[in-house]
Amino acid sequence: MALGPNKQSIQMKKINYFLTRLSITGFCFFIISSFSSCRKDITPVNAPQNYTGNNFSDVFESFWNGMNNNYVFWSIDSTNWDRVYTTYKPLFAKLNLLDTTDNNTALNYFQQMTAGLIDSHYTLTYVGYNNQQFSPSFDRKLKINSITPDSIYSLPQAMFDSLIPLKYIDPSSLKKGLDSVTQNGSTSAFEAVSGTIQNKILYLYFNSFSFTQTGPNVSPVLNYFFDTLAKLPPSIKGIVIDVRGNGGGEIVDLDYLLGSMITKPLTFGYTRSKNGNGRLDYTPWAPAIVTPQQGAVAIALPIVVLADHTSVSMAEITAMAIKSLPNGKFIGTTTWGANGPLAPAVYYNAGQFTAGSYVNVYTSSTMFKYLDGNIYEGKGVPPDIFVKETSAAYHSGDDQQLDAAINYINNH
Amino acid sequence: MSIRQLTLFISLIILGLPAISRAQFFIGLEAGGNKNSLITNNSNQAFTSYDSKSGISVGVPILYELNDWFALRATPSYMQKNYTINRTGFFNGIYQDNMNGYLQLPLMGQFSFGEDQLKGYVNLGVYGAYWLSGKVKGAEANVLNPVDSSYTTVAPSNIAGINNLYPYNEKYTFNPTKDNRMEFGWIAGIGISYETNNGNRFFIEGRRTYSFTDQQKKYMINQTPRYNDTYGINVGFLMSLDNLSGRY
Repeated sequence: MALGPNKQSIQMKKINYFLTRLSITGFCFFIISSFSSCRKDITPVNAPQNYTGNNFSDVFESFWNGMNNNYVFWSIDSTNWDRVYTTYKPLFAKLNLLDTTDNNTALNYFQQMTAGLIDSHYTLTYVGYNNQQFSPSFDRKLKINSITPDSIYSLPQAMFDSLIPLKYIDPSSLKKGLDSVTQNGSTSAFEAVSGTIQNKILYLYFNSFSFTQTGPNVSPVLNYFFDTLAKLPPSIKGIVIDVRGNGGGEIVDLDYLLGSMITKPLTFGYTRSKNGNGRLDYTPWAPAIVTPQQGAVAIALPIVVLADHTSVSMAEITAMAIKSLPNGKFIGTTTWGANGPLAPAVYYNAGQFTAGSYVNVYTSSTMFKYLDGNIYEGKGVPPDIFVKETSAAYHSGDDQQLDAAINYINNH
Repeated sequence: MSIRQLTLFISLIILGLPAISRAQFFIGLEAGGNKNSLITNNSNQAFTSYDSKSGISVGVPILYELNDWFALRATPSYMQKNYTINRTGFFNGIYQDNMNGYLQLPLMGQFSFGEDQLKGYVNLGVYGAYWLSGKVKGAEANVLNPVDSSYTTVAPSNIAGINNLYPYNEKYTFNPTKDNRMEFGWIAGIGISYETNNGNRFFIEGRRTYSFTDQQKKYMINQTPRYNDTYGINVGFLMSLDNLSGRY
């Protein structure tokens, strides 16, 4: 049956109407779908240890990206890491991994790239070549030493082995011992000295934070110190903790040491780590806390920490913790400047890594900020009372820094 | 979206304007919940995942109905685009909830289907948003607050057995070098609306918001982008401005 002109017209209008709607909707979907191409490609981020390291381009990529993602000081480090990429990527591409001369050139490039990094724990070990090490902070200290002698070298061990025990410690109280411990995979000597000075000062020296590994020789030294601390004789007017030349070690030792002298938790700074791959992705600042130990006594007497330019890592953190006590005082010289605690990279998704089986990167997992708001990484912690040790004083049988500590306690 | 595409889109809508038989304004209120994911890659990070997180949205929908099947719609709104970073395995317990609030303005074309009071519709359009605020809540391993201070020799089964976890819940501080606070993207929705006898409408709508701007400014080489991708459901109502002004 044929449709009338009116019905035909209505039908045509309906068809046009439907087609218009359909085409507009379809077009919109086309536009919308094309938006998805506006996103940049998201490519997988590879962990530095997963690169093969079969050529220098691969080694460079793994090293650069590992640093880009794992290094925790980008917010305060002045190194232009993007410029490092654009400068050194083509240079590494020209090197042959199987050529000795090129390997030496690569080592030079690594040193140039990292020379300005402020992380003073930072050490490169060329595990894929000759196992040599490079530490930017040590390199800088060597340069400083040429201007200011004695700024790098540790005090002679005889200072702690003989001068202090023989001249300063009351003979009847002297405790001294040495054990072998393992720090960062290598065996080292753990030495401690304790006793009283002038029967008025309780003194403790130790050369590393290895209390958990204490053996039969050091245990009596530490036991003497902590037992005396727990039942402090009335004659004692102050305490000296000597971490000069101390290279650091285990974090838990801080609680064991300082937690025996306080009865309330002590917040002395803050740490933060990474929470993303971006250079500026950080966790909030977490308080650095010393927890009182069971049986601890609140020491109200002056507590002096002796530290110097070779006090590193936990030694510096201990200096800051003591400095933050109302009765704490730091005497000595500005410390090394390696304050960021370390842990295996998996703990914080930050810190140390191996790049392409070629170079091992030893670097902090977290950044430390002292209670005063300053970050002393790369700068060192300044003392409350600056006293420099000199060779002349040592050779005439004096420990000027310990003398200053004794004077300070005697005057308080 | 290129300028050319946008011009074409707007032109097509304008071409449809002759079909206008009656233009009508509606204004209303909507609220809903959503689930946002941060689309990125962190395959180098061990025991770490980026997971979606729910949030809320509230908005004021404004509808300009050009004819019985097409309308322009704008919905100034506040919308949360949250996500979580979770550590797993031995690190279970370490996490960070990222709660980000955006002021968002979507501009959409609304295509309606159906004849009577109950209508289905599809929304398609683009949006611009401003990252207004952020809050982070979580727990991190506190390296300088170790647990094993009494030198026990029990092997830890979790990170909390080594370091005390530090719980936090604080305002996020924007970093002008890193954070890109402007966001653009497309938005699409599908919904049902019911028109009451007095001309007001109630609706329920599922919506997807798809960002095509990185949440970070371009501040480093080899930067992995981060995009918000949000699915939500909203309910609301629209009142005819004619009704509000007393004209029926």
